[in-house]
Amino acid sequence: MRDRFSEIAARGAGLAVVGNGSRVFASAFREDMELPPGVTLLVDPELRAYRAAGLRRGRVEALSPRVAWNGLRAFRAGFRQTGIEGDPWQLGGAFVLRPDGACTFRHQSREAGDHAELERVLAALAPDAEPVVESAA
Amino acid sequence: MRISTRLAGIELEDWRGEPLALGTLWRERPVVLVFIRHFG
Repeated sequence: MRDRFSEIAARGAGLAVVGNGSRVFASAFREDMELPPGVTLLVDPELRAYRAAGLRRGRVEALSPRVAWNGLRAFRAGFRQTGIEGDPWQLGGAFVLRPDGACTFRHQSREAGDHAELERVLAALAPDAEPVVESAA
Repeated sequence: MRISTRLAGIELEDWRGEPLALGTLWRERPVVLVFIRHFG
């Protein structure tokens, strides 16, 4: 996502990243990942936003059989996990939210390594992108 | 309830310790909001 920030910005959108570790780790993460200055980096150690976003948490969810394949895929792509700074059982996700409150993209990870498809994220930034169906709950 | 509504009132700190209400992220323009598993 970081590498596509310019494409996100070119579509008139912002990029915000939420992590569940402390600010100390967020600062190191920002440097290690070389996040562009325009990226907003937030911390949520109490997982309030993670819960509100309906993101999964638990050992079964984090360690499904597909995790090994996802890890291999990430390794081949050049990514190296250096350590876990935060809740190891919390899974992530991604959303595209518009000023009118509509959500045009929603991805709630099913297991570790299950990431949002960037092309679908970019497509969700199109002015005519349809909102996803959200439950009434 | 829409996810934007559920998230809008939540206030988090940025990496420098500055508080920010999530709803301000998409108040004026769309935002890609990414939740990562962990730092590292």
